[in-house]
Amino acid sequence: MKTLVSQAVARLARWGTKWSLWPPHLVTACCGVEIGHIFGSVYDAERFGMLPMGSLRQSNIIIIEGTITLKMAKFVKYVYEQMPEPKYVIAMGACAIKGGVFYGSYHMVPASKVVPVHAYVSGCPPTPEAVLKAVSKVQEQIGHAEN
Amino acid sequence: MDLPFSGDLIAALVFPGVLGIFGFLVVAIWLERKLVARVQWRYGPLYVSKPLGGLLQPVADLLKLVFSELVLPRHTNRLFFAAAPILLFFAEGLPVVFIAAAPGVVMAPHPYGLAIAVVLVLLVAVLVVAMAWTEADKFTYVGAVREILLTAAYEVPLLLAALAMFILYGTADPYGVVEAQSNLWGAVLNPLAFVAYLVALLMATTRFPFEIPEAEPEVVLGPYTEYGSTLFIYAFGANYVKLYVLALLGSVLFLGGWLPAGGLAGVFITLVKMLVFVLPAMLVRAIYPRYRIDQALRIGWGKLLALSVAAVALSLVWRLLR
Amino acid sequence: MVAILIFVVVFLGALVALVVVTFLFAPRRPSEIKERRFESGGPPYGPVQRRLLMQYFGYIYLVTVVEAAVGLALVAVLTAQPSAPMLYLAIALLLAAVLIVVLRYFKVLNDIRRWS
Repeated sequence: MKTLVSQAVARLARWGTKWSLWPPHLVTACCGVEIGHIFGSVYDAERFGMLPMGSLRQSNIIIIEGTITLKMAKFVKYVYEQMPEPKYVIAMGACAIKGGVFYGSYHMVPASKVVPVHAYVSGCPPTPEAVLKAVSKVQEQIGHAEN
Repeated sequence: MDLPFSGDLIAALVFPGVLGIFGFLVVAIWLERKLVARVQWRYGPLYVSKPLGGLLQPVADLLKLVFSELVLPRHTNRLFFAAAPILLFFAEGLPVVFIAAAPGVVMAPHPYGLAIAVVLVLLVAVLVVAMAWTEADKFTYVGAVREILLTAAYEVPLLLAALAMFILYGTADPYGVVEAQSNLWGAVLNPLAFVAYLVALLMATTRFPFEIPEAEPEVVLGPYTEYGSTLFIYAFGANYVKLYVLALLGSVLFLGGWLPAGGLAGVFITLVKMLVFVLPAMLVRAIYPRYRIDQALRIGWGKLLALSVAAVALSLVWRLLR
Repeated sequence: MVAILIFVVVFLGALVALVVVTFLFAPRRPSEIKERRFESGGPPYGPVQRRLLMQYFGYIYLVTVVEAAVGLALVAVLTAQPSAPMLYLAIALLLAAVLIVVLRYFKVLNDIRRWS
C-alpha cells in the first residue's frame, strides 16, 4: 500500500516536472542570442511548458549557452548548486560539448566537467529546432525515469 | 431551503470560496499565458494537454513546484519564512467572506460588508512588506519599498471610488448595492468611479503598466525572489487571488452583481461579469511597457486622484438631485 | 458564522496541507550553498557598498493622513440618516481641501532633488 502511494506520487511529480521546465536567466556565451529565438514567435518553447524565470529558486533546468570559460564555470557551478532538487542540464553548442572553435584553449572547460549534463545539442550555433528536440529528449528522460 | 447544502456553505466551499480561489488561480494563469501568446503570435502552453489547449499547464506547474525541494535559507527566521506566504495568500482571500455572489450565496451577510471587504483588501500590503522583510535580501528589500510606494499611489483612489459608489447607493450591504442597480448599472451611473477603480485594480494587483515591485530586469522577482517550491505558489499566487477578490467586488459594485438572475444562474452571471475586470488585466501585460515608480506615484496622486474626486462629486450630485 | 469557520479551516488547511506534502514527498538534498542568500548566482561577500535611500516618502505621509480622512467619510456616509445635505457638503469640502494640498505640493512631491 505504501509503495503504491509513493509510486503514484512519483508518477504525478514526474508528469509535473516534465511539463514545466523553467530555465533561470544564465547566459554564458553567444548561444544566449539563440535562446531568445527559442522563446520567440516562430519556435515558441512555451508550447512545451518552458517559462524563462528570473530567479534560480524556482527554476529547474539550466541551458548552458555555449562556451564556459574557467571564470564563468564558477558561476555555472554555483547556480547549479543553489537550484532546488529535481534539476536538469542541457549543454548547447559545440563549445559546451568539447570546446568548438576554442578547442584546446587554456581557459575553457567542457560543460560535462562542471555539471552533470542530461542532453547535448550540437551546432555552432545550434538551430532552435535542435534545442527544442533536446528539450523533448529531457522530457522523455524525466517521464521514463525510475525513482 | 431544501438543498442539501445551504447558500453560505456553497459560498464557503465552492464559489466565491475555496474552490473558486484555486480554480481561478489555474484558469487565470492559463488564460493569461494563452492571451499573451496570442498577441505575440505564439501558441502558448499546448502539448501538455493538446485537446484542452494546454489548460493543464498551470496544474503541471503547481505539481512541479509542490514536488520540488523546499529550501529555507539559513540567514532567515525559518518559521516566519515559511508562514509569511501562507498568511499572505490567506489574507488575500479573506475579503471574499463579505462579498455575495448571488442572493443567499454569501458567508457573512453584513450591513457594511462591502466596506469591510475594501478595507481588508487594503490591509494586505502590510503582509507583502513583512514577507519581503523576513526574506532579508536586497532584491526583496527594494521590492518591499516599491510595494509600499505603489500602495501609497493606489490606496486613496480605490477608497474614493468605493466611497463614490457607497454615496450613490446609500448602503454598503451587498444585497442593497445590487438592488440599487436594478434599473441602471453603477458603471453607467458613475463611469468616472468605474475607470478609477479599474486603474486602481491594475495598480493593486501590480499588473503590467504598474508591475513595479516585481520588475524582472530590475529586482529579479521583487518580494518573491527567495521563495521556491510550494511557498512560491502562495507568494506569487497571492496577486491572482487579489485580482479575483477585486474583480468580484467590482462586479458587485459596478456591474449589478448577479442581476438580472437569481439563485444558481446568478452565480454564473457574476462569473461572466468578473471577466470584464480580469480580461483587461491579462491583456495589458502584452501591450504596455512599465512605468517608473515616480511616474506611477504621479499618476496615482495626480490624474487618478482628480478622477476619483470627480467621481465622488458626481455621486454627490446624483444623490442630491434624487 | 459556521460558514466563515468552515471557510477559514478548509482554506488554511489546504494551504498547510500542500506545504506538508512538499515536506514529505519532495526530494531533499540540503547543502550549505543552497541555503545561502540569493545573490543573482554569485557568492555573497563583503559589507554593503551603499545604503538605499528611501525615496518619495512624502507620499506615504500623505496617504496616512488622507486615508484616515476618507475612512471617516466612509463611516459617516454609511451610518448617516438618508439624505443629509450637511454631510455631503462636509465631504465635498474635505475633498476640496485634499485636492488643494496635493496641487500645492505636487511639484515638490515629484522631484527627488527637492527632498534632501
